[in-house]
Amino acid sequence: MSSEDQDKQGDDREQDTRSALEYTNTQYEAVDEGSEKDNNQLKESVMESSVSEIVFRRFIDTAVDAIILITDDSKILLLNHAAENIFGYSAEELTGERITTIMPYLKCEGCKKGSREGFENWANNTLGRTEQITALKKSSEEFTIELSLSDMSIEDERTLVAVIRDVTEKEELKTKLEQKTRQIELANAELEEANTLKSEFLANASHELRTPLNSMIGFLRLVTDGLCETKKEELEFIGNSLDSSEHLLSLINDLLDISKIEAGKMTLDIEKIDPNKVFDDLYILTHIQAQEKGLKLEFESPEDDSAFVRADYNKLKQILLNLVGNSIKFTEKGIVKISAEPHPDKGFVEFIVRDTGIGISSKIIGRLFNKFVQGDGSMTRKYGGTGLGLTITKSLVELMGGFIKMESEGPDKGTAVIFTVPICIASDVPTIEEFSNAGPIAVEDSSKPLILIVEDDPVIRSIIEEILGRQEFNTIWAATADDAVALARKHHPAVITLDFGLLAREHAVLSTGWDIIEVLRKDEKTKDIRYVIISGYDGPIKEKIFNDDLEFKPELLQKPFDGEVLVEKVNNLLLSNAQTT
Amino acid sequence: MAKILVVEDDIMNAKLFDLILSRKGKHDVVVAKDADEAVKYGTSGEMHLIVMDISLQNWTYEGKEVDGVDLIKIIKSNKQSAHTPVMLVTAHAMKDDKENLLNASGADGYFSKPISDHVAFLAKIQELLATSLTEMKQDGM
Repeated sequence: MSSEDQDKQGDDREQDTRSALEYTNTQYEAVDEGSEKDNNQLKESVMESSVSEIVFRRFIDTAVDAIILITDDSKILLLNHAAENIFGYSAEELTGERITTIMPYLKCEGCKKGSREGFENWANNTLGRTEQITALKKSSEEFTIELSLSDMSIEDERTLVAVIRDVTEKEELKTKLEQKTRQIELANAELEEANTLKSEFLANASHELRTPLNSMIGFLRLVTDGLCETKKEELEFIGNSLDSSEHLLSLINDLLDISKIEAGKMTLDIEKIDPNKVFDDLYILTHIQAQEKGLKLEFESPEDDSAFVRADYNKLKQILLNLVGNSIKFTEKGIVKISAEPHPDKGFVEFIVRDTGIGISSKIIGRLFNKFVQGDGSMTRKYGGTGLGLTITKSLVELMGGFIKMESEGPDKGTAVIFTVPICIASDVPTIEEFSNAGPIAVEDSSKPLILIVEDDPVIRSIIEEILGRQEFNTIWAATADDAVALARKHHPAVITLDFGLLAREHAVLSTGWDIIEVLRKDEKTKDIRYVIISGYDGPIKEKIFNDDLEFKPELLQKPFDGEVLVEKVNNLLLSNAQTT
Repeated sequence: MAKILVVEDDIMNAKLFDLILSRKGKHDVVVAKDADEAVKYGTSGEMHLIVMDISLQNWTYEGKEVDGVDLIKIIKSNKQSAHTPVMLVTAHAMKDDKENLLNASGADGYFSKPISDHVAFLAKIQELLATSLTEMKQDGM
């Protein structure tokens, strides 16, 4: 098409230049072709110029950057090898075409219409500068180039030299670097926050330990300094010192519990439990305390197995003991009632500890689960306590897959603490064969990112499904490692949330969350799947991830976890996945 | 005999300070049972010294939660009690706590809990009292 255009232009002088340039565009090795022209003068001229043509041609073709000559009516006159490579066209295809064929986004209205004046205006503005623009390949793929324009004339015709560099990779690297920097900044902020929290905890713990230590030492010193007026007073001071040391002991125990939970070292021994059995133990441990204050203790639980739970027996007892202890402490007269109500549809049993005590004002009810917080000042003085009991209770409930809340209609209206424990329905008694499961098999809307939830606890699973479902994710789930791998191969999820310790069928090939990662990463089709590992005790996992040479490090989330943090981690993984594929 | 106000939310520690200061130090001791009493006695101008705890869990003054730093500021900004020396006695004993708390509150002395040496504690009280009593004499009280 270009040679046709050129033939229409009859002028000898121009023909001379054009044909010479045509060689360079086609095959400059075949210089002989030029000698077949009729005009002798032209022949000589061409022969003469051919030597320098070859040099010129070699010269521009060795350039790494693309070089394009543009005529003043915005058409492509000449291009080098690099330009052919970058844009994917051959020289023949592009010669004579408008520059906007490969640079449709040029800010040059004149170029599109072929107006000389418009082109000149644009050229004058662009000369001498380097611009970054989006260009178009023959394959319709858009990419980023750096364009520098300079001016030259060929036989009085203004011609522009465009030097073009493909900077797609540079740009991608820049974006990647920026994203990495952001990730590092985020991780850094998280570390700093964790560090601050740790320091705060340490400062608080130090303060709480020093307080009883002061009265413990102080009262004993009064005795040894002989400042007691009577023998009775001496006993009183020693008693005060003893009370303080007992308080100190319970503080140390609570602090150790909290540290253990926060370090992820609290292990659970999950089994099938009859609430009535826990209630029997609870009665033995609390009825004397209740009797001393003239309080009635009431227990209520179904006699059959409908309220059986899956929990750690000692932890469940610790939770109830703490709550009943609080109720007895803060109730002067009336009843403390402890009940267990099964909600099989929701997958949990609700435990309620309700009293007719002093109640709590709505102002502080939300803060009571925080560390070192107690009710109002007079309560501290009158009732003592470490301010850690409810924090521990909440952590234990969440560790076992439940949630806890406190209700009170206000001062003197009594208090109710309600918490849930995963139910143990007859069919889900750990005869594991029947328990394992997966679903749904069909994926509805493929436009949303697909997340596979691997979790054997139905309650935690439904919580994760709820959290992720709310965020426009598609979710599927599996309860065993074998099912998880099968499902991952079938649907290829973008992210898998992984419970580390899984129940396994008898003779199962795969048993833990780590097995799933091991299998899927070795498979070409599934090796790009990313993971959020959700676990109650993450010590060994951290070590595994640290020691293992994984291409994509999984995110870690410790139970009890925050829904927002889970969503953030899933989003991070989706983002990093999009970057590498 | 010097009059000393004790502001301390922990009931055991309040009793202990009362005993150390009155029996061993032979001072006249008043214990504030809440923030209102702390301000009332603290700003009366009758106290020769105030022993102040920092963490006062859930103590409120005029509807707002206050701690020892807030109470000292209230007391020091009152003309009658601006010169009453205040001794911090606190379990906030981490690095920099002493300097930070003295700067923030404008208190005159600091002693960390647990107090294992009552003699040293009373000596420090005596030291602060000496300046207080001299000033009072100069003021013609």
